Amino acid sequence: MATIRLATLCILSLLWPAGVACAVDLVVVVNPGCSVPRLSRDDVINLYMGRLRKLPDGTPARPIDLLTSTGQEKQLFYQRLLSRDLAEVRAYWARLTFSGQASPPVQADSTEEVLTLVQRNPGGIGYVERSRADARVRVVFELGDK
Amino acid sequence: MLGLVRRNLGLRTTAIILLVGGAVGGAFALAALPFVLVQEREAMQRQSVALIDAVEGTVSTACFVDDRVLAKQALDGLIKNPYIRRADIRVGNTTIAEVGGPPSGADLLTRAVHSPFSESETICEIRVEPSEALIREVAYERAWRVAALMGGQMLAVVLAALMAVSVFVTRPIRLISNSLHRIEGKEGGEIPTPRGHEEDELGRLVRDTNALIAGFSGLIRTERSLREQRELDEQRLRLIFENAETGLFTLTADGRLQSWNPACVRVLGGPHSPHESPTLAELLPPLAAALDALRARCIERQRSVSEDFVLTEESGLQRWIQIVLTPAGGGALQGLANDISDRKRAEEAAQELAITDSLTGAMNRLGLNRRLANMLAEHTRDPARGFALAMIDLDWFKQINDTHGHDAGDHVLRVVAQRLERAVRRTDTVARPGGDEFVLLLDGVSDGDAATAILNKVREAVLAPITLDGGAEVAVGASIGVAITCAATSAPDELMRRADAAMYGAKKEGRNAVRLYAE
Repeated sequence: MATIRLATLCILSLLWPAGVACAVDLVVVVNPGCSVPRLSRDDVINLYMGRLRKLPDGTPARPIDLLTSTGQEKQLFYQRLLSRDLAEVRAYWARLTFSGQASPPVQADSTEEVLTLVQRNPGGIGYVERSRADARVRVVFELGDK
Repeated sequence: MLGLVRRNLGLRTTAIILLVGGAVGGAFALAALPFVLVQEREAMQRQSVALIDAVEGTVSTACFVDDRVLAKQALDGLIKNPYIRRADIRVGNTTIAEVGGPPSGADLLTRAVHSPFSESETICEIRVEPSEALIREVAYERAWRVAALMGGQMLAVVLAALMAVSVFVTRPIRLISNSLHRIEGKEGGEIPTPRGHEEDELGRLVRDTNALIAGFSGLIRTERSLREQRELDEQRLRLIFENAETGLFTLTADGRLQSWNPACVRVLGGPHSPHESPTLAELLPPLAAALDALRARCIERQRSVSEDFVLTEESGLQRWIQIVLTPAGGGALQGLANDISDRKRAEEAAQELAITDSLTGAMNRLGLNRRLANMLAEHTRDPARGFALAMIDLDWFKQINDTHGHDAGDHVLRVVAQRLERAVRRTDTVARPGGDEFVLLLDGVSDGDAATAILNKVREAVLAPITLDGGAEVAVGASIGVAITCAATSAPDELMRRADAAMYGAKKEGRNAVRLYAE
């Protein structure tokens, strides 16, 4: 099912003016000062979906999301991480914000802002296209380009 | 009420339907209860599962981020369902949310909740306790509703049965019964078939009954005419019985008179009241022994027996009655009683006539022979009882006959006979076998001298002069020969021959003498 949906997306992205959507290779990055060498997929899920508030080393986590309007990275991120579309993710957060016990990640306007926020926050976590991951951040998990 | 049920077919039918239907319905309702309970429990389970399905996503999210408020909210939604008494959510062994009272220990419905993002990771468990009380309540209500429905149906069936029985059974039966009552005791008559029942069982019953009535009517008619005929016959027989000149009677097994006719009373002299039932012996005490013997003989031989009895009445008159007894079965006897005195007297007269000499009134030859035979038979039985036979021949009788005529001769014979009767005892016999010959039988005289003495007196009596009608006097002598019974004279002829011989001896010796026969 997921494969078909992915294939559909790929076909759709071919029609996209940018023309490079399928090739988007996303990685999860953290503050370079962070002592955590790597994060697992579950770690990433737990951090982004509000289960874990701290990084494995004890630093309070600060996951950073992208605005939907910034492009297809956000959609691809949740698709590859959770096999969920954005509507489902929104519904998830709506449920939790209703009780007021948890809040969704901060949303950045662009990838640049993501990088900046991760650099500034010791517990910052973000996701960017691999090519954009520079010295300001450190890659701890690769979602791959598929 | 019970009496009404016993009297009314319709009510009885409905009572049975109510009883059986009620019992079966009740049993069904009771038997259905467990099934209803199971059904309710399953329905509850399905509903609970659906409810859990509805809240599972929320619970999954709540557990994922350990949001107890959200978990509690989800359970609050769940507990609103009245089927659910209690619910909780556990992560491992820790309860993170809980609604309803403390656990009651009833069976729990559990659901393992997975992580919203990983099907393989179980993050918590929802436990739901159904409300057994509600399930029961609902089940009972449903069972009760089923019972009520069945009761209503039963009521409809009962009403229908009551109506059907009343219209199709009770009413026609009552009509038939009323018709039957109207024709009861009367000859003929017919029951009308209730309308609409011509073809069914009631119609058949009516037809059969009518056939039966017709049959009985015929029987009654026949019976009645037979009875009338029998009454006539009986009357006729009774007339015969009552008016018969012969006494008719029946005897019970113990010899008592059971029924008798008036002639019977005349002949036997009783009984005088229909309430008596004497025996024959009691009616005729002098004949008691003979009558008992006759009855015994009849019973022993089992055929008719008869005997003539003589009764001497107070007036000294003799009366003869003849009794005939015939077995009538079972020890009972039937009998005839006739007064045969007249016949007996006529017989005696005839007998008398047959053995009497019409001229002299003495015994004739036939009588003499009979008497002689009897006396000889008696003598043979008892040789001590002897007698003497005297043969008398009148002397000079022929001359009187010739001189004075036959009438004078007859007169002489009559006078001689009277003198002989007077000269001997009443028990002796005077006979005139023929002509001028007489014979005397002197009973008990077996001595020659005694006989000779008696006969000399007789001879003298005869010798006395006889006055004829014309005034002339004549006399006859008597030549008498005597024979005495002895061992040699067992035959009458022998005795007669001896007397004859002695008589001739007297004649030869000059007549008018008595001679004893000597060997």
